[in-house]
Amino acid sequence: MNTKGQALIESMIILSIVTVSSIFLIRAGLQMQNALVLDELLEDALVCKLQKKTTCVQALKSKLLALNFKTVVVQDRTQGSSARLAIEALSNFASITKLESELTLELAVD
Amino acid sequence: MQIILLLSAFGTVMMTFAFISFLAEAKTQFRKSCLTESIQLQKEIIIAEKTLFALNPLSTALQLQFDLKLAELPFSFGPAYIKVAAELAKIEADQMKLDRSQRSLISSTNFLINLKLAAITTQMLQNSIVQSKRWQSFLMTFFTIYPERMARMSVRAISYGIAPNYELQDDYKRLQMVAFTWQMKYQTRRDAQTLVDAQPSFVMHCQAVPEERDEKWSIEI
Repeated sequence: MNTKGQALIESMIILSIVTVSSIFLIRAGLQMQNALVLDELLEDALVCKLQKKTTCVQALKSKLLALNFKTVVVQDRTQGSSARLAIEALSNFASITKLESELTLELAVD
Repeated sequence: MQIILLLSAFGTVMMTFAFISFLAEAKTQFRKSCLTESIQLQKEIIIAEKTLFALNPLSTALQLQFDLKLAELPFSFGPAYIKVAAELAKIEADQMKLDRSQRSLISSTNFLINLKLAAITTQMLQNSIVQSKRWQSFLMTFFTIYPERMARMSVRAISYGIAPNYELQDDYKRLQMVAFTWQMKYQTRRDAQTLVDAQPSFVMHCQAVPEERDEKWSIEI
């Protein structure tokens, strides 16, 4: 094999490494972005639930759908002073994000 | 050489992701501890106010007793005058005692609020600094956490004389609000500034506001 052939093989190896790495990084970045956005919106919704507002789950769903999630399922497991919400969101890249969070704060003063 | 460049780029992107996670974590931690501590402090202020308002019937009763006794006071000096005057003095002494309790409750609560605000601020600042230590080789992080206002027990006297009745002030929500601002600025270290010279800042607020409706108290966040 001459020098040109070796260079071609090296370039192909590097190109494949760069492609795989880029895909991995983009995927990781998007997943991270999704997780951060979901986490932030979930926290807002939990605070909203603790304030006994009735439109929190609906508002959360609308915000998530506006963020280009294909389907969003929100389960409300709030009990008393403990707000608990679970989200299952399917993104356009067919990745499913599941997140569950709980916030306990007693806002009533006896 | 190309591999090294590639690995550096990969490493930089991974570091960026890790830093974003750190920011999100710091923000979440501030939010949680700020909400918990602010609500706790707001509850303590409300309990102190309830205690103060619970003294209102006693204050009214003493004032009524004083007014009635004053009406019994004879115009001329004599044994009856001395007796009524002694009773008036006794009621007045009780009123003075109640007045001292009311004032002491207000001032000690306000003092406690100041102490707690300082303690909460210091605690949250320490937590943030501990959290940012793992980044100190690459970044200089500056945290600022401060109470947005000095919360006060927002009550006012609504009757005349010693040991008056107390009620909430009209703008009690604003006066009694416990609110904090969290700000984080970071700057790349001198060696890293040749690559990236960034000085962004992130700001976040949190608050606990009292809400009184038909003598039922709650806290808005």
